[in-house]
Amino acid sequence: MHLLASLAAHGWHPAAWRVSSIAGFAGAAPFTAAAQTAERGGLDAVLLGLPTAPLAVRAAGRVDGLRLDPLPLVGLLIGATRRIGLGGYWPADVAEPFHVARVFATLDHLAGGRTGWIAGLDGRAELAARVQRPDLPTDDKEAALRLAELIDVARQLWDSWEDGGFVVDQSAGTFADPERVHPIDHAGRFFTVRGPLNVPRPIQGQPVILHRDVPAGDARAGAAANAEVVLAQPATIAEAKEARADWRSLAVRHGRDADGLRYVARTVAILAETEAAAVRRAAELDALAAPDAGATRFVGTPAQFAAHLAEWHAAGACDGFDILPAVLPIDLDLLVDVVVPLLRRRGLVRTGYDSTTLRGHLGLQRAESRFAA
Amino acid sequence: MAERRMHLGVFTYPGGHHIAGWRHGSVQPQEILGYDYYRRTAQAAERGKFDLVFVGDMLAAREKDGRVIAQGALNNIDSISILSAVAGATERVGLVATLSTTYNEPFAIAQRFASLDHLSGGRAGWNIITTANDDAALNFSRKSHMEKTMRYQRAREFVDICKGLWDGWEEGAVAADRASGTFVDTNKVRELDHKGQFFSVKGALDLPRSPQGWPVMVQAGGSPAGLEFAATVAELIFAAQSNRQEAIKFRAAVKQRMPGHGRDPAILKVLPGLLPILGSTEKEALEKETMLNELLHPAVGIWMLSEQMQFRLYDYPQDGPLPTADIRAGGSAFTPRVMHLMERADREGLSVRDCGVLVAASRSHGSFVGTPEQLVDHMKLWLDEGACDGFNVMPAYFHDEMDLFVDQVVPILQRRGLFRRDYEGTTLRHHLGLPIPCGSGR
Repeated sequence: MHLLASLAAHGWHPAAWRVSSIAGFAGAAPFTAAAQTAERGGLDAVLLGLPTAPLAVRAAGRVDGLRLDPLPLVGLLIGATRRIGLGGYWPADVAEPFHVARVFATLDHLAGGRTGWIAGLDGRAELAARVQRPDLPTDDKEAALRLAELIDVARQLWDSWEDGGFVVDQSAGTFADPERVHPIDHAGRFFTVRGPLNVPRPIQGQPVILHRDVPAGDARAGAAANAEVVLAQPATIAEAKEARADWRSLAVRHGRDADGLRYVARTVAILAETEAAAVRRAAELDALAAPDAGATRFVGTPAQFAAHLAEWHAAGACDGFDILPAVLPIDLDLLVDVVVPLLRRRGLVRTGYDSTTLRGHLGLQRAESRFAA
Repeated sequence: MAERRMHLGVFTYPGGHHIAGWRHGSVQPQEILGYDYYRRTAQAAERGKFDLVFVGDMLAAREKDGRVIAQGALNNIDSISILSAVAGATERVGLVATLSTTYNEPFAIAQRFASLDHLSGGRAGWNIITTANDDAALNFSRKSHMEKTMRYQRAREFVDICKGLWDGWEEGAVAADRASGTFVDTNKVRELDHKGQFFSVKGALDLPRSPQGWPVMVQAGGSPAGLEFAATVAELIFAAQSNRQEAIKFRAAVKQRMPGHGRDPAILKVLPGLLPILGSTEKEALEKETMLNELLHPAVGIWMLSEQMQFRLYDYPQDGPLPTADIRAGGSAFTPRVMHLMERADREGLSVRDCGVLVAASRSHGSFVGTPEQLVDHMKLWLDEGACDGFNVMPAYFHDEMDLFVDQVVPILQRRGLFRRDYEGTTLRHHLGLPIPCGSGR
């Protein structure tokens, strides 16, 4: 079972900031502390920058909608952690593939192969005013096509340097092997990119592609070409099983191995030592601010939570979980200090890190360059 | 009268600034893209009380005829990633990242620099570039590079939008009043509503005002359009003059233009690039220079020369004179650097190979070969004559040459009252003696 945690400054309940011990705005400190806690628990990765509330809700000023740019935040956490994977959300709505490839290749080198790009779309409600550009897609279908092409181009750019391209042979004076660094000459519907990238091949070959969930249909069929970790929010085991099977079969249709895709269920966690205390916490939080209606959430003891995760996993509902602590640091502390040891005792999660890269943690193979002979 | 003090930056680079620096035996070339490589440079800079660490930006690979240069080193990898990674390993040193206004969107860039400023506690700077190389266009779905005047017009509008966004949040806008449930005092957040020639942007950042208000505004590039842009926005200029008289003229020219834009010329700091090659004796330094130049593959020098002159020199005899007449007849718009080099080649009868070595060895910034004492004399002369306010140090290779500067040059500068003995503030603006922006979007 794979365990990830999504981080937000105070936590994922909209009232988290009203009860958390963390100050109103504390910069990067809460993220550093949470990433180190998650690493202590041997989690595969922490995920940064996923939106906690839509723009309209944030604008009213009643929730903590502040958002440090996840890219510098991933950068900072590289120095503050040693083993845990670091995923950063870069919404693709207006992004350029060369920038995405360049930044994540850099981060992956700096982090020794621990990075992943969380791809997805913020949507027009979020961006319409902030970036007004006539060349951007105006409907969801077009936006999904642009996203799929963008991910594809970024992956081509990572491949543009074969492993043997970065030679750095001091005595011969050969820095790069021009025969192993390739222009990609991509000419698609949305992007024309010549390449090659000006950063050598990332440590992982390609940083992991984590993909925000996409509804069944054309958009999902396109996303299945590239998604390696799907961040979904299924409400029931049955729903999860169906979606997981769909993603896997779509991946196979793209010529991929179904096991190269990890379907991960996201769930908000409100934990306490007794069930009554957990229910009380949830009620207190909900009284302060109505919870996000679309979020799957668990309320109970760490032991109950461990049993819940085990049940879903055993049923084949998912390959792992992305835990959204309702309030930081308490719900993450309980996850790491109580839930994880219980899962370890059941043999469901590994007892420590046995690899150095995010791909290794997730059991995904290193990506080979498409240009390699 | 107290000596005027200088400001120091270090320009980090994969391998080193001498184009063959990466081949030096002390360099571990497999490590030049890793965290520890950059952490070590930033920590050395902080040990030396430097004002800042600087990282450049390029958006296309170094190529000749459609293939990467086998012997050429890489350009900088992504600047914000490097500097945010080292932010946690340092406490005081400024962090200046380079990002292009031609290939980015202002909202995202304003958010990114505000984030770097927050997570570094007020140490961020933005080197604003318009991206000079044509190849970048081909990586960004454009058929050709935007024309220079347009690029600078776009840059000015881009920067205005960023300033408006950074000033959108007043101090104290994050109320975080737990009792009433008011997280943000929305009366203290102003939405920008910008409609201009290049951009339409409406909204406010998702971040409160950062410690410095705005990152320090940095500019590099000495063309007439660049100079006017610098006079409009720059608080710090990373200059490229290698000749003292030209540096004096350049600095005066920018300062002279500033009042016309309602700006105080006294705040401007100009830091030329400086590539020092140091030895405990002059002879030792010269030997080090010879050794480095011998490591330089001639093909790299001729490639760099051809790129800078926008003229193919590959078929000319390497030992023959630089064909300045042919190059001039080519009719390109030459930069002052290139003009200067051609004049020197005519005067001194330099060969194609000689010119290649000259350009490649320092990447056409100023260099100095000698002892630490001699270097300090050289730096003091530039400072005293108004050629600069300090230097952006470009070590020939990392880490030995950086350590040498920090451990042997900085103490002399300090003893002679030319450089701070310790940090006196925590922000980059404080190190540079720059004001904190007032928050009115101007």
